[in-house]
Parts: sequence; C-alpha cells; structure tokens
Amino acid sequence: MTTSDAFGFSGEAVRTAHDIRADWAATGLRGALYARNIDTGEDLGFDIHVPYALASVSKLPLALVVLDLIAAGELDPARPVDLVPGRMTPGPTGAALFRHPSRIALEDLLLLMLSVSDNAAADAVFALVPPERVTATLQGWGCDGIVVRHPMRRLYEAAAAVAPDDPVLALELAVRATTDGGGHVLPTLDVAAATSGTAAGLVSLVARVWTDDVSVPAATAQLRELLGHQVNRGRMTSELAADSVTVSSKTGTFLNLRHEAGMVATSTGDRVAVAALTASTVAARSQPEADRAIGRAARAAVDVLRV
Amino acid sequence: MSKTQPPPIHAECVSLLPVDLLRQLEAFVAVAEARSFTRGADLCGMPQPVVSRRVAALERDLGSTLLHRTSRQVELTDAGRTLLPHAADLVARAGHFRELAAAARAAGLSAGIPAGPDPRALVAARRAAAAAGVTLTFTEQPADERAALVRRGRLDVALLPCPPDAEETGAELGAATATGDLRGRRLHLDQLRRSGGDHGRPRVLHLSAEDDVPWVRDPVHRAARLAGLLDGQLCVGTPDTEALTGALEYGDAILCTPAWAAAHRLRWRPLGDVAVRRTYAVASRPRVARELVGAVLPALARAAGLVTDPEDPR
Repeated sequence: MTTSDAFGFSGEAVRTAHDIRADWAATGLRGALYARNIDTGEDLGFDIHVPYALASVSKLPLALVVLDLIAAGELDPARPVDLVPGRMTPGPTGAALFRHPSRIALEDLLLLMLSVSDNAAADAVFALVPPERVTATLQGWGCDGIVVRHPMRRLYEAAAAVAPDDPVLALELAVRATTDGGGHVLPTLDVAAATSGTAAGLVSLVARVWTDDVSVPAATAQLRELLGHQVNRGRMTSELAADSVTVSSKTGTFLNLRHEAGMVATSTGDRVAVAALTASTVAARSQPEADRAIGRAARAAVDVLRV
Repeated sequence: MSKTQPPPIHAECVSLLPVDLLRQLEAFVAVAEARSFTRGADLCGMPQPVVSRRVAALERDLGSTLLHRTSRQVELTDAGRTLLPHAADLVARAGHFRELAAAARAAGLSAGIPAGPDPRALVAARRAAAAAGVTLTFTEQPADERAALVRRGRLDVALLPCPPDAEETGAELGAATATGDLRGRRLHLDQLRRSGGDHGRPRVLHLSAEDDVPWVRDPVHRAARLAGLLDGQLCVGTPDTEALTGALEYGDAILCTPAWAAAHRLRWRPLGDVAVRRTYAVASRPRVARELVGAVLPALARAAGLVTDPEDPR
C-alpha cells in the first residue's frame, strides 16, 4: 500500500489524511476516505477513486432516484407494497424480520431502508425501480463513480452459496479471497460485478444533494430529511454528533465491509460531506474498534475542514 | 522683517513663536555668557552652526544687533547688554517650568491591572506611557479589588470588566493549547469531547477569574453543553499556573487573549462555537483628568495583555 496518494488542501490536512490511514491500518482496516467542505471546496482524503462494493450505501442513490420519480409524478408515494415473509429479502433489521404479511406505502419503505437499513424494504423498492434504471438515472445526472448493479438479496445469496449455514466461513472468505485489481471470489464483493462506488463519487453525490444540484429540490430536500433518521450511530454519529453537530448519513455493512457516507453539518454553518469505505482484514462480525476508527477519521477530517 | 509691515499673525506663527523665541534666547544667553560661539554652543549642548543661526534669527526678529562678532571674541552691543538680564531671566524661568513639569510626570499615575501580566508587556506599556508624558506604576489585583481600590482613591486608574457594549478597550478571547493534537483553524468545543472508548481524563477548558463574568462565562457554558461536554470540562477561575500545567500535561485549552498565549508560547486559535471578548472600561479617581486617562489607555491595554505587541521591548 502506497501512501503517496493521500492529499489535503493544507499541510495539516495532508498530515491528517496520513494519520487516518495509519490509524485504520492499526485497527485492521484498509479503505478509502474523502471529506470535502462543500462551501469552501477544501478537502482531504486518500484512495478516493478506488471502487468498493457499496452494500447498503446503495440505498442512498436508490432513494434519490425514487424520490425524483415521485416528484415527477411517475410514482405514487402512497402506493401500497405487500411484504410477505418467505418471499421478501431477509435481513437483520426492520420489516425484513417481520413474521406476518404487511402492507407498507412506498414512501415509508424509503424511510425504513434509510433509517434502519431494511433490506426487505429496499428490495421491494428495487422491484419498482430496477438497479439498471438507478444507474442510468445517476449517469444521466452526471454522477460518476457509483454503479448500482443488483438488489440487496444478491449479497446474501452469494454469501450463502459459498458457505451455506456458516456465516463465519463466509467472513473468512471475504477477508482472504481478495484478488488483484479489486476482484473477489464472491461476485458481490467483486467491484466489477457488484454494486460499487468510490469515495469521490459518494461525496460528490452527497454534496449535490445538499446544494440542490441534482434531481429536483423537492426530492433532495426529502432525502436530506430521511438521511437524518438513521439509527445506526456506531460510526460517524457516535463520534461527531452533539446538539451543535448533526450527521445525516447512510452506513453499509456486509461481511468485512464497513462504510458510511453522508453530511456533517455544524450549528455554525459548516457543511462537510464525508465518505468512508473500508474493508477489514479481521474476520470478526462485530468490530467496535473498526467502527470507532471510522468515526475518529470523520471527526478528524471535520475538525480540519470546518472553518 | 520690516517695521512698516508687521508679520502676519496666523495660528502656525503663534504656536511656533514661543518655543523658537525660547531657543533663540537660550542660544543668545549662552554665547553672551561664554563670550564665544564655540563655548556657548558647548554650554547649550548644540552644534555651533545651530547656535549661530538661532542668534542671527533672534537679531533679525528684534531688528537690532545684539553681539559684535570680532575675530576671536564676542562682545555685547548696547542693545545686547540691556536685553541680556531679561533674556537670562526668561531662560531661567523656562528651565524651572520644565523641572516642575518633569516632577509632576515623575509622580505619575498608579494603575490597577489584572493579575499575571507579561513583564515584557509591562515594559512596553511603561515606555508607551512615558512617550505620552506620564509615568505609570502598575498594581496587580483581582477585578473586585481594583474596583474597591480606585473607589477609595488608592489607585488613580484601573481597568474594570464591563459588558461588551460599554467596552473602552478589550481583546478577542480564544483558546490556547500547548499540544499539537487538536486540529483545525478554530477550536470548536466539541473537539474537547472524549473519543468513544477513551476513558482517560477529559480535556478541560480553563477560564481565568478575570473572565468569570456573565458575558463571557455564560455563552461559553451554553456552547460547551451544545457541544456535548461534561460540566466538569469547563473550569472557571483556574489560576494561571494550574491552567498552564493542565495544557502541558493533559492537552487542556485555556481561554485567553492572543497576547497572553504568545507570552506563554502557546498556540492561540479563535473559538469556533461562540465569539467572546474580554472587555474593560477605565475607572479613575475623581481628580484625575479624563484627558490623562485617555492618554494612558493604550498603555493600560498593553499592560493588561489586550494588545499583541509586534515590537520587542528589548
């Protein structure tokens, strides 16, 4: 791993980028970080154009495209969607755990998939707006660096296919089976076959959502609000949030991947878009140290970039 | 100057004349008493050409010759002999006047300033006051003591804390740190919050007793709560030495002026959350003229560490 591509707008920012990468390495993380003050344009980061499999972070661009279609009148936010256990996508949270059939409005599915990262809700939305359409819309908006290729279901199918009934084996494989050039024996971790994105692409998308520079203001305003409802606070939010600092973001977690992308806004008017994409070299499902390292990284970046 | 046409009297002339006349008289008296331009110049401590020029100017102004200049000697003319005692009298009176003025200055003003001033700033302040013609003596006292002493007439002037809208002199307050582990251009109070998993002693923001006033303490307290700090992370009234020790040992931050931070070789940054100033009004004993107070105000500000002094007093 070279360190030459760590950069920053000032000497302190460059040092901070290097410090964060060293901190991550000590925690067993490799990854990409990009943070940009969207008002001053000052930024720092490293490996910002390296694609990572996005996992649940892909719910962020999905939500933007759906909200855009709702704003255009093509989709009805009140449209009822049936979720039936057994047929819907499994997952660790939300409606994906429901034991009985339920009917939820489209707009509330967006809330579920962004607040608790509900996979069943996300795939019910993907059934209405397929991944190809999300990617095509993003490309139409000029959002480079994000390619949505599959619904959430495929992540779990791939893991179960290589290691049926053995999540730890899947994790071991995820950690060890990385091939050169971002390839991977698990197709959903292979950035050429999976939903993937770069830190630069995510920060650019978040910045455009906050400056109404993408889609329409009705859609971006609602996405900004929805991202503020995220309940997973273990990474950026636990380090940064106070009454004077708000974090609106989406996490992504799958096997050894731990990501978060979003906006940190302070009461004094600073807005810093942050994307942290990491892969752990440690085969453990729960890694509080890794989550905290991502939080520390975001906090250090915000300290340097806020005015 | 011809007798038929008196010199035009305008303000500049009037204000310059007495000083010029006095210098000319001093030169004339010195030369006349020494009977020599060279020795006269020595007596005045002036270059000889200057003395010659001043005597010549005096003669021109009076319209009569006062000295006969022979090859080696200088002799008084009749006019010179008549005028010399009066000139000597005027010169002596002027000298006496100057001595009195110097004595009044030397008695000086006693000024009450906050505790813990930078000695270099005090030297610079005293020099600035001396340039304005006043000798200043400083007394370090807490704010309430200063107020009591100036009220009882034990101090001539004192800087007393006042709300920002009554400020006569003051400085922006920011955070000084001794360690390099707090990033950024400003110090945001949430940076003092511990990281997750860190159970060590939390960093403290120290406020000196001088800033234990509602317009500084209360906004900082509110901002600290918004930033998620523990109440114990704000320490009001910390003595300087203790605050400095905390800054060096634990990475604490000290609320202070840029000058104070520079004097203690700390890094100073503005606060990100809230803008606060240390603000003072000057209180004075009734018999001290307001003009005099105004003249020493810059020196007081410097002594109180409100001014970052670019010039080294040494």
